[in-house]
Amino acid sequence: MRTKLFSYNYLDTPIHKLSGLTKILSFLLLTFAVMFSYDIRCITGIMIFAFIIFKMAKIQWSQVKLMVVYVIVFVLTNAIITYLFAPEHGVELYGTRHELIKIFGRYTMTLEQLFYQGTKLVKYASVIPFGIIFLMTTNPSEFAASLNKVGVHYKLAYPVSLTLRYFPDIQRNYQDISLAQQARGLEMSNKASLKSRFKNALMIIIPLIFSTIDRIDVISNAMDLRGFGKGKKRTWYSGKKLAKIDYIALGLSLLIFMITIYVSIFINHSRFYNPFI
Amino acid sequence: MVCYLSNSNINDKKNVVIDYNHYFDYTYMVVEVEELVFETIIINTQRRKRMKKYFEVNTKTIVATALGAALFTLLFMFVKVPSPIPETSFQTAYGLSAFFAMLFGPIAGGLIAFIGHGLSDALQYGSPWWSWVIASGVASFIFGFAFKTSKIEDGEFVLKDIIRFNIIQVVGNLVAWVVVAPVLDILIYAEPVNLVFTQGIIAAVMNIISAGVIGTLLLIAYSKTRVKKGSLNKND
Repeated sequence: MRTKLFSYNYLDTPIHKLSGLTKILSFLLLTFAVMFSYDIRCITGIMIFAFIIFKMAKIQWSQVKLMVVYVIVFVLTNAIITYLFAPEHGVELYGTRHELIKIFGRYTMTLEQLFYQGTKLVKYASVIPFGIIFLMTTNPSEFAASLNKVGVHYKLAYPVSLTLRYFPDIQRNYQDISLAQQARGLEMSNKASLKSRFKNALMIIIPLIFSTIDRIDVISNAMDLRGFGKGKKRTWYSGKKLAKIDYIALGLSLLIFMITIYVSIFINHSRFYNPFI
Repeated sequence: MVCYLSNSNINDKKNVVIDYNHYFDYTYMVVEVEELVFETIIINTQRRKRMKKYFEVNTKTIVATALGAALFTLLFMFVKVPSPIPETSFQTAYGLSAFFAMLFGPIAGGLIAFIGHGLSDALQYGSPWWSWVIASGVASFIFGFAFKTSKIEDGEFVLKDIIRFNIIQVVGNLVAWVVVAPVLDILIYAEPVNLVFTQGIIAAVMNIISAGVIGTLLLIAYSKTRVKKGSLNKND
């Protein structure tokens, strides 16, 4: 609970200098490229690119340690249950069968399955740095401005920025209520049984939600009284203009995106790269 | 008045300049505050009188979406009970999104879950798992169809409303977790078919329980806090 979630702080790096619009477009282009392609060569290329950007943004290991642990646990459990549920998925996808070892029953290890799961692992690993870079180097209030510039209506972009604005507040509220309830004798530690812990969690959530409902009234009245939502457009205080470096970054992302799509369509003739034929 | 307030924040009392002007401003301020309160009351009554529409987006919907999404993110990350099946857990957040969808409509509901799930995924894993984020949005969007017929703002939430809310909630969860999430998993991530459908069905069951129990409890609690329509009568 004490983890600092938005550890955005401004550093003097080229990545921090990019406008939010560039970052969101590049993020979408690159993640879609990785999501679309199952070609391990393209994905590895993108992964190397991701780590170069990661170094450039000067993100400290301590900032992302927790996230990386979560990701590793997730990726490994995913790999294991994928194998348990579908040990022949690779064979189905690639159409050939190179058996390596027989484990038991229907569980045999095939080269195709290893290749499929390896590709998937690299796929997950290469998207994650982009997400981390995006979160750590984008000013939260600039984020809404850039969403609006991508073409999202401001009535949709505004809640996003409000969410980012109020998340720390609500987190603090949660802690306050939790401590207050514990002071009144609510057991939240491992000593209590799972059922009573669940019930006690509800005793914290309910006041939190009801105080938030009151707050919604206050904030929306304040916004209405200041004439929010009367115009068709709005301007953003923290919006940035595109500079030369933005065009370079956008061009580079677009190029990587195009190469991935080109390789998939014209060289592999499918989303999968098949080395077995 | 403003001057007085800002000065009171300074710890060093010696530097406070006593400005007697604020006594003169005070009457003016009261009038202004009264006007503000009056205007707020007018806005609120106008809101109440207006017919409920599913897809209307006003300031209140926007603010409810934002704060709801922040709450959703918090619950999604910290208030969950892990289940024995890997990669699924009992999420209290869907009870919350069902509650907000009922109060503020499908648009608010859908966006709360979409933004909330996307944000918590991004914070925990670095990148959102898009197929499930979209499915979350779809589920909570469907929850919102209980919005129009409900009179929960007037303190009315009886058995009939509870049943209607739960039927809609079950339909929404089934559509999202048994159809949308697995299909998107296969299309976007080329996951094995039997795996994603098993995960989908488990998620559907758990989220139905979450939205059904927590959502209903929250709605009952909320309806108790509202003033019943016609509860004031003239004393003669």
